[in-house]
Amino acid sequence: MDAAHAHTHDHGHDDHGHKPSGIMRWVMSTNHKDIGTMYLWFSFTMFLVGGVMALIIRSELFQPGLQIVRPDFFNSMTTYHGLIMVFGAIMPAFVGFANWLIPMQVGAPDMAFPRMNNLSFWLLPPAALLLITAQFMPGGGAGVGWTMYAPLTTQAGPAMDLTIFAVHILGISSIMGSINIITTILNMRAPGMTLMKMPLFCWTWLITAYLLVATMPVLAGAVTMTLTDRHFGTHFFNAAGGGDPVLYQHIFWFFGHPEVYIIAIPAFGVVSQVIPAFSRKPLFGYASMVYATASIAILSFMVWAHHMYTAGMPVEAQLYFMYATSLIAVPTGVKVFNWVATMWKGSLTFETPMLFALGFLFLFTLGGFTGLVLSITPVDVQLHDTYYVVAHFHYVMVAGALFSAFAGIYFWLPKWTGNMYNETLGKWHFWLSLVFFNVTFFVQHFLGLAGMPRRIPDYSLQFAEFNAISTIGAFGFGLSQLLFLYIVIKCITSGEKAPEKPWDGADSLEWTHLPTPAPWHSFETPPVIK
Amino acid sequence: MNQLEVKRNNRRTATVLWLIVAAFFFGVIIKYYLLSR
Repeated sequence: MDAAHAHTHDHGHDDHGHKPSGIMRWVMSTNHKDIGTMYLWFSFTMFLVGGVMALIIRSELFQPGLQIVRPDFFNSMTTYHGLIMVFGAIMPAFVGFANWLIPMQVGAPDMAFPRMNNLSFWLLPPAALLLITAQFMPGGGAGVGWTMYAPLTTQAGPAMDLTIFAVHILGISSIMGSINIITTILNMRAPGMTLMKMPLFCWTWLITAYLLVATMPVLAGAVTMTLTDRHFGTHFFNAAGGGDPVLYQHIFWFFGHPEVYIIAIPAFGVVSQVIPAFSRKPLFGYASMVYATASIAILSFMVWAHHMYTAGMPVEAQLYFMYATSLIAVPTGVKVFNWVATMWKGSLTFETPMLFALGFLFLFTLGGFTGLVLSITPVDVQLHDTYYVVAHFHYVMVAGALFSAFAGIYFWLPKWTGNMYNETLGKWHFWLSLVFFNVTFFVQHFLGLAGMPRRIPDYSLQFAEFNAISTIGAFGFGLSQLLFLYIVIKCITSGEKAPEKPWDGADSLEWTHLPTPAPWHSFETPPVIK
Repeated sequence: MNQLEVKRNNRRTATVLWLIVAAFFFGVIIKYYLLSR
């Protein structure tokens, strides 16, 4: 696309009929909208794969004792459920949003590097295949946990090599995506679109992309060191050779904690678009939202060892990491305050995107509070590796990131497809997800407080009732997502035609300057931003 | 700004970012390799 040489004409006629057809449209695509669509479908497919793994885990835990799977397969399921959900489902979902929305929201014709964009997507399916086929390697999948701690990983079977290779590929894909996003936002904004005029979704992705550029290579380094320990005679993490397994934990969590915000911050961005639109008010405290997001990102590099209180560290270090972690509550509190203040005296309506955004707001805040509990060192020493931690991070990942992704999908479906989704079914999807999510995960707080350890296929009898409830909730939650699939397919194939601007309060460029559905090429002529 | 300038700026930005990526990736490996010797 040539922004500078574009001729002026009505955006309604942007689609010149150049759209390729057939499978090559997708394989060779350099169109940010098509690539965004592929990211979103890939993410949903991985969500179902990871979801099936979760249901295998929950089925085994329905009753005490070993009923359905072998313990080593159970360990493999916990490992690949985590890896697939984090790297295959949630992260690609938000990269899909970024692809679709960032060029439209900053007034650019496409991403800065469209061919690199194609490559960053098409690296994902082979990586996913590696993670799935690792199950069929001799000895089965690597039951090492998604954190891939040494020395388990240095001793695991050949599936570990496939897993390491998959993580490398996923990392390269994320890095390329981030470089594309940063370059697009910094260099390709329409004239007049200053950084502080950008929609908050673009700001959150700019900050997230910097986090990815700084942390993904560190993860790649950690798994490369694991690989050389396994095959090339180094002893980075091998105590017998003079190495240190705890070193792996430090390096991993230097990536791993920012990774939490790599997932959460774009979710904040989506919610920051949805809540003002359904409150019919501008976002309260825009500048403070930007600064709070940047503060969270900077702090996320300084708190990694709160995941390792039980690994052994000086009490001064424990105190530092405890205080630094608690400090994150301040900018997070600013954001929650601003979302609530945006709704204050707003002209609120509660369509499905708003319901999911509010679900996010309540439940993510709850997950944040349990995070604050876990940041306190003496408490964490008791709760480390229990189901309390599992409950905490699922409130952040599922009710935080996933609910926000649902809010975004319902919000932008009319723009993407030109059709409206079924509002009644959307509301059913929300309420079923909300209820079953809490049935699944709220009880896990009690299991953790009572001392049930995570990553075990069997447990003591006193944990039986809450585990049974949690499993019922998990199946209900999983089945509810099939309703979501039905709603999306029905919207695409036979949904009612969407009005140009279905949401009164939506004020970013894709709603105000582009027709619905968005044309295949947009902003060949840069829009004028006042 | 014409198209060539936009492309040149994009390449410059991407080069800086790739250098940061390389610094983190090789930095962490080389640091701990040297420390372990």
